[in-house]
Amino acid sequence: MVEHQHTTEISGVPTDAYVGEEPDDMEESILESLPISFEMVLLAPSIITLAVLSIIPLVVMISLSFMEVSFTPIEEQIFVGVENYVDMTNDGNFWDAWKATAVYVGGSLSLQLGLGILISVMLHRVIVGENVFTSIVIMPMMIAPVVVGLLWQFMLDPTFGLYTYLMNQIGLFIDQPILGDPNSAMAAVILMDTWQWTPLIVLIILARLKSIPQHLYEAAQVDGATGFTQFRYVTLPLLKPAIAIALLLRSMDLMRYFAKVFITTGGGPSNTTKIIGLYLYEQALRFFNLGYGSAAGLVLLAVTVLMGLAFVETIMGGAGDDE
Amino acid sequence: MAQIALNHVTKEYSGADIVAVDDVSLEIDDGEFLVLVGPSGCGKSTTLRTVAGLETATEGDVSIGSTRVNGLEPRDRDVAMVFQNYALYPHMNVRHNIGFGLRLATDMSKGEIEDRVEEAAGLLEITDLLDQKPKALSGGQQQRVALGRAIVREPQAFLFDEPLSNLDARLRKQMRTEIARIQEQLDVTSIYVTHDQEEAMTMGDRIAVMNDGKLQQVGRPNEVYNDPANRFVAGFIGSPSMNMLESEVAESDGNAELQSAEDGALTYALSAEMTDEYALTPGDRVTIGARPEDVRVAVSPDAFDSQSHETTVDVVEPLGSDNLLYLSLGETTWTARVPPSFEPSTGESAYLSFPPEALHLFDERGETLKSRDLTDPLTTSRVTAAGTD
Repeated sequence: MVEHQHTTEISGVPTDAYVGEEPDDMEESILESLPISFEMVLLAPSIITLAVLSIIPLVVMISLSFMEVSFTPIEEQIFVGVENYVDMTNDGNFWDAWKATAVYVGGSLSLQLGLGILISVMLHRVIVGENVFTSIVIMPMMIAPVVVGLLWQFMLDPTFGLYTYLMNQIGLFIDQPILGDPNSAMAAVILMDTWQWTPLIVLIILARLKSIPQHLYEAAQVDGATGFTQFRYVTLPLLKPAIAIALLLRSMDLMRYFAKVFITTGGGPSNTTKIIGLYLYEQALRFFNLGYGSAAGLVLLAVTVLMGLAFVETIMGGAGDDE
Repeated sequence: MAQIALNHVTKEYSGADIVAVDDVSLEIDDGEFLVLVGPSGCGKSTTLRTVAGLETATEGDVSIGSTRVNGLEPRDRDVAMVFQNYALYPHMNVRHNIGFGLRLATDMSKGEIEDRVEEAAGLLEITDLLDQKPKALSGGQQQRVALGRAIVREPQAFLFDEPLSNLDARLRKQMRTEIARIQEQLDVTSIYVTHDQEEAMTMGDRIAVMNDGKLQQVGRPNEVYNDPANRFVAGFIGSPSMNMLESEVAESDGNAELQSAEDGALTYALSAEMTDEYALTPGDRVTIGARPEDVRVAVSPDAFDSQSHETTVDVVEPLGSDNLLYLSLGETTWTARVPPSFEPSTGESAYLSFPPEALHLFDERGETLKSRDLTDPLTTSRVTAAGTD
């Protein structure tokens, strides 16, 4: 029925009118003879691409998570049921990785959001040369994560790093290298990501700030609001949807974070920066526990999705009807 | 409630390039409803915003009550403002929108605020909307909420910045009456900015007409209409606008007359008393003005006992209660408001006439020399168009 309707709409004339053998009619019949509807024909390329790139790997991953996979002497898959998942609950390293991830994601998100709001509100106030300032602020975002990792490793190098030198000058980290100390290594990794990705939050929030009409502030001023109460009761509530989007994007990205830690600390010292992404990499690609790695990966996927939903639900009230 | 006074207020923008408000002095009495009217960009909104504290006057003083408020923040001025686009807080429901000012600026308890909000909502008949968000409301309802937000504060003054411009015509008329009613009931000093001269005429206790940042005239609506201070006010107040024609005083056979400057299509004989009274001498350039309702039209010149002028009917606009005729006289178009029974066809020739009592005259600088004479029985009893033949 749907198919029929749409094919007639294309020619703009009801199908009933077609009785002759005009060329138009030929075209009509080709479309009608297709086994799938016209919309599906148009959608097919993207669906196929999506399937190859993500749906098939996902299905394979789900099936792998119930297998024990060995590569020696030949590839072999043995069905083990939920054993991988049971192992996970007993694996102290897995939980440690999640703890590191929690510290890492929580620290980075709050730092990035706080700084992001602060910087965007300041940028919004800049009248002369706003574009120049904005461009400077968003520059770190343009750099590849691996390069950021290398850059920071260089800066934090115990012998010739600029940051290490500056820290040493004020009497910090004289005895141990910054990336070699369990506490400062995590802080350094969080700062690295904050340096690179705060600009994204700035961009998202700045765009929203610009869309808040000036007359709302004027109304608030006449209503008795000070600079702070204007921010508290007008700006902040209206920024909520933008904050939710920023948190969603950053949390998804942070959960699967890998490159910068891999380059700088490699998960150390003593696994303090071994976040879940790095743990997954080790399990699946260093130890070749493909089954176990897949199961852990699925857990990561589930946690990420739930976290994203939670942000959208709590901040935007579900449908974003705070607008 | 308080008197508001503006004393030589000037507002310049970006290094004196633009003078938005130019030396405006104005006093608004306690409880008075003053309408600031003028075309777009005439500085009326800037004047209002200067009173609100959203703009700072470059020169001059603004006082509300006995306080000079120049350096005060808007929140310290105790005024409430209604904006053209309502400026409701989109994330708050109607109740919180209305109560926001009380919550911020007073130390009232939640219960007291709630009572005040309910009271204001009752006055505006929006009690059943209190828990809605602004986006669920129609334009008219949003404007009521904006009014509620102003009323609930019981401020010293209401400032309205074109509050009805975004509403459709019918709602606009309804809200016009409503605002006037509420203002009278609460007896709060109000300044109302609009570009709509009809709104100004119907709502204001007094009207202040502005143009190019300068105050042109302040007066009661009828005063401004019947005795405009200058050519600008005469043309701006009244719809359709006053007919105007540039002319020059000439002499023919010892009698003075006005000749239209550009094409000489109209000559208007002047009585000796008039030339004396207004000191007109040949060569003076004056602008003739006549309100459309003072222009009488007939098919034949015999219908008039005073002088008449031949024209061609360009357009007939029926309004129901009247017909508007657009008549071409030389290169100018004259508008006449005639009874609906008189409906000439387009292209027909017709004669227009306006008595000397109805005549407005403006000098070369645009200042009024003569206004319509209201004491004359001829013009006070409504001039009707002479019949057909």
